[in-house]
Amino acid sequence: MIDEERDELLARLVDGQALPGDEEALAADSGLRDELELHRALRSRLAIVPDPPGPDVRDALIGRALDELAPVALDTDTEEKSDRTVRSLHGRRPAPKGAWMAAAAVLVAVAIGLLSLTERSRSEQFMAGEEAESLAVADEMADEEASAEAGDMMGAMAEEDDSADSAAALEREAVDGDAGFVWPPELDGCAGDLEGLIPIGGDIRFIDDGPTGLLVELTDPAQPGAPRFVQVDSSTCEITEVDDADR
Amino acid sequence: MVPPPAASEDELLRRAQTGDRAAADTLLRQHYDRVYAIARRITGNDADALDATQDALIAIVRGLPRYDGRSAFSTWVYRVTTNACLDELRRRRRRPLPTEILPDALSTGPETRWEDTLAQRDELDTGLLQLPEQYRAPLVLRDVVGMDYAEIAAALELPPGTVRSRIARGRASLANALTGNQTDPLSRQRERDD
Repeated sequence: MIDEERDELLARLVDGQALPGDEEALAADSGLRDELELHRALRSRLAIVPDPPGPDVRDALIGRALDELAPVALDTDTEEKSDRTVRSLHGRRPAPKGAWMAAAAVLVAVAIGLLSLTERSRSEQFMAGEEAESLAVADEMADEEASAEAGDMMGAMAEEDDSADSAAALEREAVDGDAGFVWPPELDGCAGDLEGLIPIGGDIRFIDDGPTGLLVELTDPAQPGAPRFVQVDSSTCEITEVDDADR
Repeated sequence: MVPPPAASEDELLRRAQTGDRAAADTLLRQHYDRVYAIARRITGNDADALDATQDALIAIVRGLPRYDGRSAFSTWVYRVTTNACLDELRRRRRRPLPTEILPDALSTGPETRWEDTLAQRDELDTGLLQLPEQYRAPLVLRDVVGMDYAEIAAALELPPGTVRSRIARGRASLANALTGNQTDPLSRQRERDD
């Protein structure tokens, strides 16, 4: 009988699951009987666990756990995991580039509209002005107006440039933000793998160590009450789904 | 006055799942000793056992609304507890392991009974901690909680045959470690795997 067979035979005998022939094998081998006695003693010894701490500690542990009951039972969609170590990434996944470009286009259109309204108003005022003024004065005013308009135009153009710059800056920020989550050091190498999991507008939280790696919660604005949980092996970046109910 | 009859576990569960604190409290108290026992044997010391017990109780409460009854409630509780213990071990992995068992200190006279030998030693915890977790967890569920192989298989999501062999190897390895036997079944297994 090889050792593995012997171990399994002993386990069957200790656990009361003997197969036909096991008792005969035991009867024929005194060494096996000694081992069986040892394994039975070991099992009995293992079953004797040091007494748990007193009732005060028990009550405190249970009370602390029950504090989690109300939010879980009354509203499972907004379940908080307050006792876990949560490391926020300081930001949500930004909106796609198109949204920023559309916002920039709206800003430019508004600036141009305001500029043309101002120009029309000034022109009407000028036409309705006093006719007694001399042509020279009119010319002078016209020059001043032209100068002012030129200045306004330059200002407006500069404003447009500023708007465009702001939009570009926002867009850059969006793009930078897309690739710039603040990852915990142990997951820095897996950032690319994890970013692919984050839904648009969604969030990601690092909870703490799971059975096989860091536990990560992913929320999707389309499914606010149903976060996904994955575990990430920081050494291989292997990502596995986790059912949090079983943890 | 005659006290009201005790509610069944199913009834307690139903009430706890709807937020009944008293029902949840009763359920936790019913399982507390075994949750602690699993935690104590898997983590190997009182402090970590308390932390793991707290984590397990919280996980149980949080998971109550999602417990679907596919396995026995106790099986589910012990599964959650085992996971909480393994999590605790990983968090505390940086802590040094207890001193290795010294064979000289374990030598026994011919008249010594195994029960006496094992009972005298705190090395049981150390021996358990030296078992890889995949052997320790099923052994604890079997020998501490008394779950049968099928329940352990369900709790650990392992095939029953794997549970059986891990218990056999784990128990043999622990026995050898405690008696100073240098033939470690897990070493044999590793050599064969290599």
